[in-house]
Amino acid sequence: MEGLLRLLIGLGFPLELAAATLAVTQHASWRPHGRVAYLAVMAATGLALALVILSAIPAESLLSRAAAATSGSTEPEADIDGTTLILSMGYYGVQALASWAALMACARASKLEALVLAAAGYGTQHVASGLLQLALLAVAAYAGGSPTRSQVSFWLCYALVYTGVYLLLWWEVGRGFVVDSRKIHASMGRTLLCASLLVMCIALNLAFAERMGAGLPALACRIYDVLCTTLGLVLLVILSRADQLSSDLATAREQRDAQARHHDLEADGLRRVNRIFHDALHRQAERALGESPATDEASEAPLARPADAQKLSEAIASYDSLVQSGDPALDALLTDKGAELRSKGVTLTAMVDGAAFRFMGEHDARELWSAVLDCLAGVAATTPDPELRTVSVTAARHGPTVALDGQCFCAEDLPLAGELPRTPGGAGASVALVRLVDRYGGRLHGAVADGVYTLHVVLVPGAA
Amino acid sequence: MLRIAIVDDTEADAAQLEGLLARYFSPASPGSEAAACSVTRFASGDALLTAHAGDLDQTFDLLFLDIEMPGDNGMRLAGRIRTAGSRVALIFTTRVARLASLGYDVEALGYLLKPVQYPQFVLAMRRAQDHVAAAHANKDVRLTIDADGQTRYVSSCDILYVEVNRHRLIYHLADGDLETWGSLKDVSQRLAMAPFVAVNRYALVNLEAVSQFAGSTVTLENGDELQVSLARKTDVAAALAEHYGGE
Repeated sequence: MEGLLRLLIGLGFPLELAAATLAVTQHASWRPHGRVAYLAVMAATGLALALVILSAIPAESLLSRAAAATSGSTEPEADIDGTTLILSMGYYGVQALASWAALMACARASKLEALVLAAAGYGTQHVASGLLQLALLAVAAYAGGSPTRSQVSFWLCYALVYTGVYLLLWWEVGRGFVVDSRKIHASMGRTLLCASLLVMCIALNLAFAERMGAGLPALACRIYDVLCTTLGLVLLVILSRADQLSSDLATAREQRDAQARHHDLEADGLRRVNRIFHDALHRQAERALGESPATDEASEAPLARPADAQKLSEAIASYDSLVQSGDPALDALLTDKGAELRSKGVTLTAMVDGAAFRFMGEHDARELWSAVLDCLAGVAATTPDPELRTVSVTAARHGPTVALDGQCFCAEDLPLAGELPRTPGGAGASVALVRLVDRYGGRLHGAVADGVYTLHVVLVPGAA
Repeated sequence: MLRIAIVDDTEADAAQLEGLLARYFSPASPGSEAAACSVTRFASGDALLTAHAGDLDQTFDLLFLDIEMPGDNGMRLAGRIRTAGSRVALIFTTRVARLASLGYDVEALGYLLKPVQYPQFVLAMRRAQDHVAAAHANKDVRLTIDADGQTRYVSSCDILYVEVNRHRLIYHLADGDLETWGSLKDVSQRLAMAPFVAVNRYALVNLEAVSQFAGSTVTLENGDELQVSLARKTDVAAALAEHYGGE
């Protein structure tokens, strides 16, 4: 009988803890079969602890949850010795550590993320446990005696309370709870403090409540315990949850970083292409023009006609030196954009003082230029004559301001939203432009005159 | 009438540009006026400066400068023109974009890749016409100032800023200060048509003279710094953006 009770205690608490953890970790990045593995680990830990720790103390002496599970009693022992207290705490502590470690192994969670999830799961189980105690106290007060495990009322209370609490927490927290790793790492101290406080609160309240014995003080203590735990749980969730805004920001940040990496790679590619092919193509063009003798490597290549070679030479010359803004990052972006526009049949001419945009930071400067060029390219694409698909931009400092002017031909009936064009896919560029001008101070002006769309962006760095 | 000079050592290129100008200003072209330009050709920068060193701004509205020229190339020529104090509009022509893409250093309006294509040429001309129109817009206001027993006629363009100290008005000009009595409100009304903005309760600043605006300070061409009051900061930024943004 003693062995069966140990088994029940050993499996009961870890399974409750595992269920609570699963309820609040719906959106954790579980590995394949991670949830099953987690349950198995928790069950195994519970069984091992039942054999090791619970063998050192009488089963009925184990604090709170175990005591209730064993006897159904709502009146735990008041004369608990130190050893039992320490072993009991060790029992729950090891379960919590096992949950933390299992989460790290079964879900793709960092140490800190797993700690938050484990603490949230533990808090949930503790709230349910505390409410069960209160429910049993209420039943005892109403019926005149504590229900025991052999009575249906005990299991009814148990099922109702645990199911209710877990469902409520899943509904309110679990189904939308995504841990924001950037957020918790940025405020690591606060997150650790919150998790520690939650654990301490549970441990201390538990020890204190057990020593209160029965009666009104015990009831008050239980209520206090549930409230403290709930508050700690709410704080932990607020501190670590990825809300919609921060999630969107994180996505935007990742997208921006990916774009930056893309531009760097493009720039590298362009430089490599230029380095490898530029000289060879120029030699070819010069040979055709009769300005240079044939080399051994090129002697077998077919010669172009002088007119074609001239075009080729000019194309190369304009390609490899489209923009020199004085800012390598902006050069790469403009060259990349120039190539992208050229592939769409739009010619870009740019004269840009890159240093003028350093006040914005690289990311915002990239965003501004991408938005301006996307906006103008969208407008240029509306003109029916392919010859007119050309975009011209200049940007330089004017006094204390930085002015960016863009021009392109457009369809006669170009639709405008305010002063910005309403072109397919151009909404994002327009929003980005308005946002950046708003952030840095300045003004945005766009107008159509005689089939030409003109965009003026003036930024006032000092106003930012 | 737009007065244009083409500085190019290559006869064919200069002729092509002249042809594009003729097409642009022909009555059939949208937004143009018939015979609305005069074109003068120069084979080198030296030829241009020899003929019009002192009166470039008065003689021409727009210069097309070829970058690849013997002697002073277009970029160096533009540098000499700016050093001489001319604000004439510049557009480079070149076969190699790289050589012209640093044109912002000499406040060029843009560049055209040779052989010049008409669509690009049209865009450059639109920009040039806007620039010339803005430069010719008369924002100058003449003020009569009685100072030190003398009456002086001062152009608003020459005023860097005006400040007041207990009804003592100080006009800070590029070549010295003038002191008189009056209120800043009166001066503000008289300069309403000129690009001036109040940076605080005691100072009115010429936007053209502002070289830097950072934090809560505007720095003027002569190095003077003025505090911008918190309440005026947004207005000052808006005025600067309006002034330099154009329409």
